[in-house]
Amino acid sequence: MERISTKQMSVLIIFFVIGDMLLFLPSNMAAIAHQDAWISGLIGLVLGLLFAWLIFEFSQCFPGLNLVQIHKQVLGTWVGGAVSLFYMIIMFHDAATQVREIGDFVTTQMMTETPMRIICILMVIMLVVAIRSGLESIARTAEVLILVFAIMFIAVILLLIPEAKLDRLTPVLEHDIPTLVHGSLFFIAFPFTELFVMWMILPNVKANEHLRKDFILASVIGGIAIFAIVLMSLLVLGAYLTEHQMYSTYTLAKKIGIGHFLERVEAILAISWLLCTYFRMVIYGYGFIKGIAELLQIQDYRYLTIPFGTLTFSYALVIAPNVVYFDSMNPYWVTWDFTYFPVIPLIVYLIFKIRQRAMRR
Amino acid sequence: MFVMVTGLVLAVSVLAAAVELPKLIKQRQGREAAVYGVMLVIGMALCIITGINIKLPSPFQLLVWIYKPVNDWFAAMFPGGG
Repeated sequence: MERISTKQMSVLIIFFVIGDMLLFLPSNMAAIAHQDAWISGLIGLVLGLLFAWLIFEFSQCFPGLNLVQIHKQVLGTWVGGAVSLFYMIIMFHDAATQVREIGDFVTTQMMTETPMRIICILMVIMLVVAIRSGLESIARTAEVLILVFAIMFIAVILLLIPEAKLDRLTPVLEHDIPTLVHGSLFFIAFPFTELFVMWMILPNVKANEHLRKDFILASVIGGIAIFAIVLMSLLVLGAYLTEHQMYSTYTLAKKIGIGHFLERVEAILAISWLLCTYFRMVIYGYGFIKGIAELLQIQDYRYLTIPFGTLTFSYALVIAPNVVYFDSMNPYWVTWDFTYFPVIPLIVYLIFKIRQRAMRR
Repeated sequence: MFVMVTGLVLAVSVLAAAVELPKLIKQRQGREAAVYGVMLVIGMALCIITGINIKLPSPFQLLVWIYKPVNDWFAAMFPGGG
């Protein structure tokens, strides 16, 4: 049994929450709430943390069991298996999505002449190597790289402060409450709702009295980081540019220029984005492969890594014809995510409680 | 170029299978071998399809088909929500 410490778990959560949202969130949110996207961000931060907490509490109702085992215990082998398979689909889909996003970003912004397949295959190789080395190695790698990530990320935010202008946020509260909540859905769904993947990892965390505190704290840190990015994006670029840029944060980093000696630091941002997207991808991939192994009662999930790599690579290419189509799927994806977190676990929890009561009688 | 990358992926997959599958079968792990084989064959088939540039329908179309009514219902319930 692989064991990771709570500190390593927190690091994985921080990477997971920030993930690919570092690049996509500002434009998604500004497209709906315009200059009020930061208020949407605040609403989303509060609701998202509530979701993160509920996700943690749900897993604590079933100590030591992962997602597949929970469903098997509560719903039985067949129904539980079907529900778990439904979760495996989104994990696989999301892992392939991260690969595709990296491919799209690198080929449209940085290496325009390179075919996307090359970038995808490189990422898939890294994914396979990571999963094959096991959760402990993944967690240790994350623990080392979080420092690099934190320094680069904070540097980008600090260097942007001279460019920020508060009047870009005016008029404040131009939009009504439903619009603000609508904008905040992206902030809740992609980073926080998808934390359900942690149900695959939590049973492997060494029990510790500050497990709950660390889980929530890590979500708070991740949430504040993406909130900072949304806010900076609005302050520096303004609502119009933010919502019309595909990768607004990347454009944002291009704005950094101090004197004539510190310029073109967008590569730093691209690297930090690649880092956190990579870890998000690895966590999804690990969750998927572990779940499939559990579902089909395979002793060692490591056997499945190579076929998983082939499958992820080809699925990442099939997933969408182009990046515009890909982006237009976000509203449906949000609803899809909400089925996975509040809806299905709520039903599972109710069935669990009813069965528990029936058992007592 | 596409053919080269596809060929590389296929070659690596086949090579890995050639090394790993006999091991699994020797250890009498039939279930593992079956799952391994199925995943690899689906992966390789998809890889060939994308390699020769056949356009498959995106899996997102299923997502839209399922969730469009839900989203429309929410939009009707909360008018003015952007």
